[in-house]
Amino acid sequence: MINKTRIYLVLIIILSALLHCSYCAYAEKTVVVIKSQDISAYNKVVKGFQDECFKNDITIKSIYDLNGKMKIGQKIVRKVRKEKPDIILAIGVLAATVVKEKIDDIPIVFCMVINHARFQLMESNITGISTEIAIEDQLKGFQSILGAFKNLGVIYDPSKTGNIIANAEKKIEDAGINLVKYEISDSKEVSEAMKNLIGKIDALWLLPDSTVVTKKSFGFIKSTALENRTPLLCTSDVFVKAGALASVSSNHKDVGKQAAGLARKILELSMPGSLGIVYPDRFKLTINTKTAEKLGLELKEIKNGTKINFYP
Amino acid sequence: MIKVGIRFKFVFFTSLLIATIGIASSWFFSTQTRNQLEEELKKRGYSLISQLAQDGEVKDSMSVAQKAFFDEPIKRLRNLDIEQELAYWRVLLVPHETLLEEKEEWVKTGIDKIPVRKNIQNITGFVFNIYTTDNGEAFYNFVVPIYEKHSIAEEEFAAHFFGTDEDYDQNEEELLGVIQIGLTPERINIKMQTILWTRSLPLGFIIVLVGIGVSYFIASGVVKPVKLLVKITDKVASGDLTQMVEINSKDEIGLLASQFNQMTKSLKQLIDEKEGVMDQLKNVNKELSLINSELVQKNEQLNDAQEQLVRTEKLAAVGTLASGVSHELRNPLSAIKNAVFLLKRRLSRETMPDIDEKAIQFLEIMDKEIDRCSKIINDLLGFTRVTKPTRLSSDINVVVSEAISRVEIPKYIKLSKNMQTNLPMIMIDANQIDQVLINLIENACQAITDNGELIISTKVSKSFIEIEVCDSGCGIPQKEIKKIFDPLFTTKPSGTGIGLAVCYGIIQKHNGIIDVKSQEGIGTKMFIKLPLEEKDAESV
Repeated sequence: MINKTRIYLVLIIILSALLHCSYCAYAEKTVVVIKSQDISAYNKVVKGFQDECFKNDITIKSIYDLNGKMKIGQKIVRKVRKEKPDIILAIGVLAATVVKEKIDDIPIVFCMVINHARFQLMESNITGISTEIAIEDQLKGFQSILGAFKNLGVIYDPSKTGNIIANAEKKIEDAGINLVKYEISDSKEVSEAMKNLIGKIDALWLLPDSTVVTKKSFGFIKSTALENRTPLLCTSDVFVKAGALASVSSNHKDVGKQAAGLARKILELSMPGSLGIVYPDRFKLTINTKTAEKLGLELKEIKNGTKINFYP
Repeated sequence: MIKVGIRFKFVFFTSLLIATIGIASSWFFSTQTRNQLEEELKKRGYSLISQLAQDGEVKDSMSVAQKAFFDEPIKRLRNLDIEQELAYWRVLLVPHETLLEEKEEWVKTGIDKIPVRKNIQNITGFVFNIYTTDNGEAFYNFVVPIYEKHSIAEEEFAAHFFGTDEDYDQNEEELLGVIQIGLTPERINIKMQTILWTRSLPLGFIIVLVGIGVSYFIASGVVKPVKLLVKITDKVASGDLTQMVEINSKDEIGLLASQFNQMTKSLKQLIDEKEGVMDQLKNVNKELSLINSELVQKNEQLNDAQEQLVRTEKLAAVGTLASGVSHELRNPLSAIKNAVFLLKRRLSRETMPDIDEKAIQFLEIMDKEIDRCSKIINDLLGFTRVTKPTRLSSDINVVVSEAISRVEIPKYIKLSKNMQTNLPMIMIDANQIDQVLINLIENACQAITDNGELIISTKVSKSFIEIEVCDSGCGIPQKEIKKIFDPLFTTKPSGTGIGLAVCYGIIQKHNGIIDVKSQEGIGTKMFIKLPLEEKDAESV
């Protein structure tokens, strides 16, 4: 009697386990999105991510907005923990740093973090998409407009974008271009830097450096470059719209899609973890035609090229 | 004029230099320290106001304009003010509302007298200034704007970088107001005073004292050997060349001392050599003087000998001549004498009474002159026939008296005899000496023309008997005095020049000396020295 009961009990347990496993195998994967603030660029990433998740049967449980404030981040992290998502998408530096500090047991994918190396977002559960395009691709894009040029000027704050310069220097040199550097530590030094560089350079490379690029300084850099017929090359199409000559940058929606793809790959792993930090798999060259005109550049040859956006 | 030594100069100027450097250094370090303390005060001010500005409660309190909420932040601020330099604090809200203004009790200036910052909307960063109130209190004033931020800076940059659409309107910072605090520099002044009285002045005093001591020591080290050198130099200059400078240092002074010693040594050697040469020269000079005097003596002797020789030769020549002439004249004169005698007999008055008187006078003259000629011839023969004296022991006083008695001395001549009694007997030819004395006395009498004095004296002098015939006559001229003993030399108009030459010959044969001292117009002294002991005339 006892033996029969035991056998039934064991069979029930085995059956339950099998049922649970099959449930698990076919269970819906969930994701929580945390964006640093509510700006259109982040929203486009969310949109792209949502579209791709839908295709990959990944459910977005919640989308949180940190509203640019650190304190809110802690409350949101507590909520996320309760939701127990399979993966977290952090958009922007604030979201990425908050989840990096508070969560180490759920895979995280971050994107839209400018100069991510500054924030040391390298943990075993973190995967990321770099905001910056590979330097070789940037140079190719710029050379397609300007042709071969010799001296590329750059103003940078070593404490912010020194790592970018360190990584790029050798590659720029290999491309046969001489990088003319000018270090500053305060945005007040920008005008002095421009005075020094103008005349020595064939183009100015504008890095995502908050010391160099402020609302006030950008206007000065743009006008000075234009006055001296120096092409201004950027890493964001926003500056091209504002008057810079060209930029090589990612499409925000595509970044969302790429993040969803990475999420899928991570979830498919037997032990979900890190896939490292990757470059955007798609990027665009944006050109300001008015500025090109002022600089006297011929754009006929490249006008028919794909993945090129023209402003206005 | 005061003599200032090198030691005093060195110590004085070194001390002056050290004092100047000390004062300059003190001033420099004081200024540096003050600047440093002021910089530290500024840093503390910036630190305090920065911490207040970053205090979330401050921003919240400013956003709701609640003064009471500042109690805790201000308490925290005062706790952070360890140096107790915080003087006042003030919170201003936009546009120009004073939310809070308080001061510490020890601040004399009223809070309403401390200037309030106007146009706070224009403040974009830290503002610092120093001001002094009417009652002389100084404050380091710090002002900082307080913003309400909507997001972290990196996200603001991200919004700028990625672009914002019209739905994003929170990227601008909102100015809530400004916070103003004031710090007093009073503690700096106290610290400076403390440093001045407890460190700078004592240290400066010690440095100056040590400097003077060290410079004195150095100066002594230099001056002492120099003084020693000067002292030794003085001694050397005064002629003491045995002095040596004992300085054994290896520096320039030591080298100088060594060179000085070397110089003194060389000088001594030179002077010793010179003195040696001088001694030799003196000896040579002495020898030369001796030789010279000997030579003079010899020369005199030679002169005398020559004179004697000449005189002797003259005597011999004159003697030979006289002998020949006398011999040849004697016979004719005798014949003439006889003829005159016969003539006188025949032509006398007795025979020829009418004879001219004159003829008789002439015959007399002839007879007289023939006698005279005979006498001259006799004299000359006598002169040539001075024979070797026949010496007998005689009393010279007797011989002298004999001679005086044989001469007819005029009455106007006062004769004085000064003859020493008890004279020793002397070996002489009394006749010859008598002849000499008669000759001398006659000469003396002839020299005295009027009321003169004739002194004849005898005495013993050493090994001689001296006879002196002294007259107060006309004297002999100096140029003739040496010639008077020469034969045929005479100063008298009727003299033959034979007498004194004969006297000279006689005395010479007696081994004696005859000499004369005369002064023209005063008188003449004739000396005869006759030896007491007989010697051979040829040996003299």
